[in-house]
Amino acid sequence: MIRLEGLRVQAGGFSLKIERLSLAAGEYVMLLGPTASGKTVLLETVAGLRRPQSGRIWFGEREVTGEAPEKRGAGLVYQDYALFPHLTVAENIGFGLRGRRGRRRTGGTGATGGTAGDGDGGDRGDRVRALAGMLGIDGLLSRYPEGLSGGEQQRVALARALAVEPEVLLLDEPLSALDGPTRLELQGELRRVHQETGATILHVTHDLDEALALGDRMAVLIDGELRQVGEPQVVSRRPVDVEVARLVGLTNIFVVAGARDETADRRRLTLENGLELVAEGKERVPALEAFVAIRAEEIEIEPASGRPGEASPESAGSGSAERDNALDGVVRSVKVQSVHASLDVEVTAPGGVDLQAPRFTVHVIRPQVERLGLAAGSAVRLRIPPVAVHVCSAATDAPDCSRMQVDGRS
Amino acid sequence: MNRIRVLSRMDWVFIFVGLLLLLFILIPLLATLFASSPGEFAEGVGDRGVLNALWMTFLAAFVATVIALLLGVPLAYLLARRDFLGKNLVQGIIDLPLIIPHTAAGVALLMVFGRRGLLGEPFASVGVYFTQNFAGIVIAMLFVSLPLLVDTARETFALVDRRLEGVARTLGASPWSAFRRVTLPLAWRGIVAGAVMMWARGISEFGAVVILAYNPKTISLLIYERFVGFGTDAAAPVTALLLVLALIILVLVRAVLVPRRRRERVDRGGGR
Repeated sequence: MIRLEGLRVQAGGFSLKIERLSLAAGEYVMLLGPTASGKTVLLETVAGLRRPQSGRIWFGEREVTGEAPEKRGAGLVYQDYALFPHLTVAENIGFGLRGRRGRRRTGGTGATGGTAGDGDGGDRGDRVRALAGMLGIDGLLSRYPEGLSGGEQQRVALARALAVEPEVLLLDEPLSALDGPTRLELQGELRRVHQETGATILHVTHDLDEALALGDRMAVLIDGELRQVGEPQVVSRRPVDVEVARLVGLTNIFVVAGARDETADRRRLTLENGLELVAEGKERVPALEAFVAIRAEEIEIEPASGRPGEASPESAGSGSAERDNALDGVVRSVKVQSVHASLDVEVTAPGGVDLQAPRFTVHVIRPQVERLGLAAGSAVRLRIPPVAVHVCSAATDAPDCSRMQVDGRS
Repeated sequence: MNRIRVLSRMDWVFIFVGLLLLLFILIPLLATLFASSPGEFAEGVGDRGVLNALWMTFLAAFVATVIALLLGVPLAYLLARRDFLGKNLVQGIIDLPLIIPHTAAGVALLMVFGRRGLLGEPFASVGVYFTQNFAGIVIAMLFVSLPLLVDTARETFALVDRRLEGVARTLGASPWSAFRRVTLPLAWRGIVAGAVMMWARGISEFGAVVILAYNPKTISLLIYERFVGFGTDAAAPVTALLLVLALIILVLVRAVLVPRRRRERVDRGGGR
């Protein structure tokens, strides 16, 4: 288990503050943050390459705050691999195996390669070959890093870090420099390595999809502070504040002007742009600067006059339409991407006053665009499920975000 | 393609200006080379005094370079890697010998290493002298040429990605071990290049040497003495020999430096 407490790190003009973050043994935690949010600084601090101004770091029962990096046992993999250019692949992987026979090892969290067997008994060459085999780079052992592809280099860096059975594997945007297909392949590889070795992993990324694909949990770091920690699915749907919401890809963000509780879990929100939305969920509405954030793919869309059979009962009872958060509007543009299409929909403000027609971004899977006949100019009706209407604050500086997320009503 | 580009007028002007400078260096060198007939050359060079002076000069410059390697490489590493108060001052002090007249350097050294100098006097009392002997020559050469080694080594260390050292540490290497197994193998070319340059610079030293140790004669002093005593004809053969040697040394330095550059380029290109 890895535990950080009250950590303060000063790096240039930048400061990192982590009140509390812990990784269970064998857990895969994603650290999500925009560029220059302090992610690399955090990893280097855990690895022992930076000294914190204050705070403590624990590896299991052992406090390592003041310990030199070579005593800690944290494996570090950089975005651009940082392979030793003067050593072959085999020498790179075996770098940490030299003269470490007597090195202390702690059971459980160590990342012993499954295919590597008991690396203890075998000699260094066997261990190197086993790791190379696990990562599919056994054909490259005598090559130098110079001529390898990005994906191959990343596998070498991974094998090199795993070789020393680190207590925690620190990955600094390991996939960002790779092209699309290689990234997906390496993503699968990371998942497999995690399963086979049981390594505890802290993986830095700025890519939400990566975080969703790999993480048991996700920690969001913005401006050097942890804003939210939780399951990736939960964080991506229930960000605590607007900045987190933007980071996890919530595009429809509106200012809340007023709120009225209907039931404990249900409230009616009046937005600044005049719209009324019903929100379902446990989050309380902040007294000041409340926002709603809605994931673009959670909004349902249909042609306004497309299917009379469905449209008529709702338009008859306006009450039910409101409960469904139904909004009429016009598609302004359609942007087709590989998997989904992104629609820009201008919604008619209630009461017909068209002063600042609110706009929504709606994602639908691509075939649906043709099936529903959506194009610029189409009149449509949007439906926003109340559970998809997420309320959050402007920006949190609450030290313990994880608690806020659990009992939003505190 | 970009590659086959017509030279602009500016290029022609620059080429012409550069050529003038090149000739300014080349013509005196060639003149010296062809001043003496092969016979005179052989006679002047075959002289026992010349060979002794040459050997002694090479050796003294070599000893100075070894001392600078042992003391200067750690300092160069610190200058490249660590930030500390007064770093600029330290850098300035290291570079000082580059800009002061070398005779001034000789005088300053004499104040310290002379028989009545700060260090010279106590050492003299136990019979160890630093003037008018081999040690004096080494000291003079060390003082004036060490910036070349320290600066080159510092630049080379700065080129080694410090994260490689960090990664080595996380893999269990002590700072010593990371330096030996990662930093040094990646920086040695630059350090060697700096050492060769320092050595060559030491050989050519005159000003500081003449003040600290007029005897035994280094090759530069020998040339000076022959010139003063017997004129250019006497000095030319030795000068020519030195020029040939210098050229060989420079070619060697290039041979060491150039592969390093090429490798860096590949590294950068293959990085992403």
